[in-house]
Amino acid sequence: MSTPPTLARRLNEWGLLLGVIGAVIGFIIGFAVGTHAIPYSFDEDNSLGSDPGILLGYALSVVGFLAGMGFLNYPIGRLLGAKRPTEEDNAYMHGEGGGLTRYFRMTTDHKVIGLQYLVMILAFLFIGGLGAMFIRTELLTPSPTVANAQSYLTLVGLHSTLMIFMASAAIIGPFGNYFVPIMIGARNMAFPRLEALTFWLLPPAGLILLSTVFLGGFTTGWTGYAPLADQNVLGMDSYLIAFALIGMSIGLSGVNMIATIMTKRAPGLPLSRMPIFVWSVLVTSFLGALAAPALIAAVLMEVFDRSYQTTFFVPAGGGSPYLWENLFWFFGHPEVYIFVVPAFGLVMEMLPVFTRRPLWGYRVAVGGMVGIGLLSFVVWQHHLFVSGLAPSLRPFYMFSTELISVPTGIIYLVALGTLWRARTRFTVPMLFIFGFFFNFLIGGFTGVFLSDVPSDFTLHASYFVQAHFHYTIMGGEVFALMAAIVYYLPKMTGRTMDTKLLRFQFWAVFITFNGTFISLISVGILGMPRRVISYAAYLQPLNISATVFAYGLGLSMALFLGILLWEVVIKQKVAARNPWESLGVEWQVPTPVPLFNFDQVPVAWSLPYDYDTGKPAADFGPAVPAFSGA
Amino acid sequence: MRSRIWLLVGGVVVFGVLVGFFVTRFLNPVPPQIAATTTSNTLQGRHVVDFNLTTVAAVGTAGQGNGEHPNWVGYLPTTYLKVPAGAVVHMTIDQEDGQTGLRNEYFGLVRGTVNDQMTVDGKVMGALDPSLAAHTFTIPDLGVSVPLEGVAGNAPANAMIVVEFNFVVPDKPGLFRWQCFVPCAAGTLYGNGGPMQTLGYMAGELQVG
Amino acid sequence: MRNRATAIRVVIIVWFILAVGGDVALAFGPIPPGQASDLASSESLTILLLAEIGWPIFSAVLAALFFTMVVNRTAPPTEEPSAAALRGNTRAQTAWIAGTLVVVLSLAVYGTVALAIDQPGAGVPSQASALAMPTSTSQPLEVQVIAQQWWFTYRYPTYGGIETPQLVLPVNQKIEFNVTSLDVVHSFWFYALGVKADAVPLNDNVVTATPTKIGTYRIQCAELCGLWHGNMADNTAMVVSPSDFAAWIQQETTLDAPIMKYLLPYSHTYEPSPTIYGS
Repeated sequence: MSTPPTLARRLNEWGLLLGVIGAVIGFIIGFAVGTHAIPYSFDEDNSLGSDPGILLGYALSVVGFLAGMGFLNYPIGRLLGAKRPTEEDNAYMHGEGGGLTRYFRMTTDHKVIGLQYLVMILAFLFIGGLGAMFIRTELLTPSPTVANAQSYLTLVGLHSTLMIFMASAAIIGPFGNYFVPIMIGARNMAFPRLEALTFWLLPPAGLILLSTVFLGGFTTGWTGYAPLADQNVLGMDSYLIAFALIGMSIGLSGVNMIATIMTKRAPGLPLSRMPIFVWSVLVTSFLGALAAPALIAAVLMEVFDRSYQTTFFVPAGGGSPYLWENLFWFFGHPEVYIFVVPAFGLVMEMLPVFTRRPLWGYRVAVGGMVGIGLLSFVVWQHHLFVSGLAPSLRPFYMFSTELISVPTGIIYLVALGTLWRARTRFTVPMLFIFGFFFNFLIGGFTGVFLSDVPSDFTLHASYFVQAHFHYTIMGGEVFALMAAIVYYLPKMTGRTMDTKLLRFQFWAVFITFNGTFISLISVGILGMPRRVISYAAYLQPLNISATVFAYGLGLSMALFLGILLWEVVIKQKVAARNPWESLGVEWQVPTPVPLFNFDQVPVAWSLPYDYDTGKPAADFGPAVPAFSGA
Repeated sequence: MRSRIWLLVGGVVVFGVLVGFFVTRFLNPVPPQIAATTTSNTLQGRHVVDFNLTTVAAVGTAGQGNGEHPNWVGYLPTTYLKVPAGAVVHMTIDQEDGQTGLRNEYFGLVRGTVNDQMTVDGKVMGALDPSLAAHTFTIPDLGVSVPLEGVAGNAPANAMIVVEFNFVVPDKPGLFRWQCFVPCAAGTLYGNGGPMQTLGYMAGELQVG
Repeated sequence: MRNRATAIRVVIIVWFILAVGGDVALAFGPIPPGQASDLASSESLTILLLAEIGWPIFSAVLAALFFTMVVNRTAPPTEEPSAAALRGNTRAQTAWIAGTLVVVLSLAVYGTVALAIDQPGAGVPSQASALAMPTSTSQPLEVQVIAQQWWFTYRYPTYGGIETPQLVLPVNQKIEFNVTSLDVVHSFWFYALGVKADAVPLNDNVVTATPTKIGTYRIQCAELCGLWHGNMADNTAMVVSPSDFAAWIQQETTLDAPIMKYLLPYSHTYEPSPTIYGS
């Protein structure tokens, strides 16, 4: 830049530090006001503070953090009559000339945000995975050993909540943010500041959740059922604030993605020709934008129940525990499709590249994902089959739940059609895609037993359920995530992690994953309830088997992270520009991707899967050869 | 490249320290455990061991116990008890708290003790009016449940009710949880939060063997 | 693979062996939760049926996946082209969707029918007040399950409303479990009988089952209910002969004598007291 940086820019450079200072100031103000100024009659706990103090402290610390990061500069500046930002300002906010520091401040560049998400997701995954290792260690014996009843439940809550945070942004965060604008030929997101906000809500959420350890923990697991949540000590407030932040992030991310996909598509790109991954992001965004408000509302009600003696969820005060269950699962079920629909999109995006043929049945694939999205809003009561709530509605929810296997089956049909008689290149991402389909198939197969009320009677709330959703989320989404990391890393970082060791890593993670969760399916069928620290002695052999495999699983996941760090941070081997010889637009732009993606907005589109003709999906003006090397 | 490796190693070390802190300080803090005092008495052919616990409404102000939550109610000196296998435990509880009342009146019954009886201030009883209970001493897995009568509201300060009972612990070693069934955690919903759900206050572990 | 037709044949044969072998093994294997009650038997039957229908479909998709992915694999840098580009096939798509719809619809119909047979009026008490003493084994005997943090207690309204911390049931007698809670949400799980019902405060959740096998069983809480959730289990639930049951009732009535005058009158739900936020 030629002009000297303005004060606002200098402040923005130090955004992270200012954010931390803002968070501390916000917490002190909120804690003081909440503790001393808000009438609070409970005599719960004098030494650590009161619920209003902690809640208000956390809320204001997040506001202070975001203000320090510079999120308020634009709206307040505009309110006070500041001029519109110039092109130069925008380029600066986009991270022009920022180098490595732009990853540690608020930027409006979707590519920076994508990478920020990726690092955040991997950190959540790692800490959550560590929690799983502790849980499995504890379950080696039928009675408490390494943890006690109290810390075990907090451990379960931390593992599950962190993993839910991770999973709800694992694919749409890094890859949705990074590649959707490029795939649709846009120079930027529709709401870039909002997009930055969706990311910068996550680190505070994670830290606030982990701070529960110092506040006594929480015993409710990730479902936070009331009225148990009302009884919990201050640690519960961490869970509530963190989950509300995640809900906001999911909802706002959905709004931004919908607006981007609807309004910023390049000329000549109708909805009917969008890459399949963009479709999956669109469906997911609608789910997030419509479901997350239910969660935020429920969390707010719980906050009021805990702090101000409202009785939304307290039956003795005219409320109902069913209200929380309904609100939570109304969010919670679309949430699981927020996890997995982008994974469907990603694997269908990658399949044509490795089979060298068009995606078979593009339209039914889109229809399948839209169908999943619509149906996911009317199935939530299958979580409440044994709750005693509205038994006469159970046949309907059983039907709608079983119906959702039809659009899910379509995804398998599309995959099989694409693979049919193809000369498949068994690269590392393809291995993980194979793992994805294998594991998700088991996830779907086990889901049939849970959707049917009579068999759900015995399987409900057992380890069978736990294994079922680990098969879909970990076996499905995380396998797709690993495929996507290997696949997209050359474009995102200019480095490759595609090594021989990674093939070994795949087989290790695949075998240990299945070993772990087949053992857990078995203990579930044999009658082990979830989230218990003590269990019947006859279940011990299977639990030992699950733990031993889980250690292997943990080691092989750590190996993946190790390879990633080694290859990207230390070895830094430069990757080819288009190593997979993809026709997708995202692979035709140079590496690193230019600041605003395209010098010239591309036109003349077809679906990017014409591997039979080798025709590129778009015209970039200056000819870019489709299969050029470095 | 070397500096990058050092950076990575440093990060791993810092993370390892954090995890170690978590494991040692939080995961399973080893609580002080009190062992029963052995006596020369026998009952039903078994050795009798003695315990003396005190229930106090504000544990922090009693000058001992866990000071983290001075306003909570708890058993003093601790709720982690250790007894030899196969012994008869002669438990003496100095009950200093007021009458809260039982939620489930059934726990007013003395069950699982020797002769299904307890001695309250020297008087032998088989049940307590549930509305007079301040706490219970209950080990569900052993079937032992004893209601502890609360001090009347108009009693002088430092008034105390002494409850005594005997129960037999199994011959096999094991870890048994014990708890109170009176919703005595003032200030939390249904009176079952805070001290009721925190080890060391109204919840504890009895180690046999 | 050079010979595609052979490969397809091998895959189909492997699938067939897998599907038939699996189904036969399932038919002879023990299917949880077992046969200790009519409800558990029908749940076992449902699980068996779903597995028998699901397994061949599951293994077919697996075989197809295996065939298309693994048999057709090629090492990365190859220029050997794929077979002719296909962009879709309306007939195959329609057939697939219709096929899955038929399976799903029949499963839903079966589930609804099974539900109607197993659980007439599940979740709702069959009478406003306690049932009368059953005159035959097909008339239900009411047993109330009271969940509280963290122990289950049981009341027998037809035997003077006595309350016990141990569950004992007469064999071959239809039981109506009325499950309620005094504080937070619990779930009463009697695995061997196939009974699972959430215990919700001020709510009466009803399940009926007829135990058919004498024995000692485990009951446990299946909904996270706080600190001692993992320990809210009991290995001493019993199904006994009617004469043993009568003797046990007699013994418990004697044991309960000192507390009977304090117990609340029997009711399907109890208002938790003190109600809100303690003293």
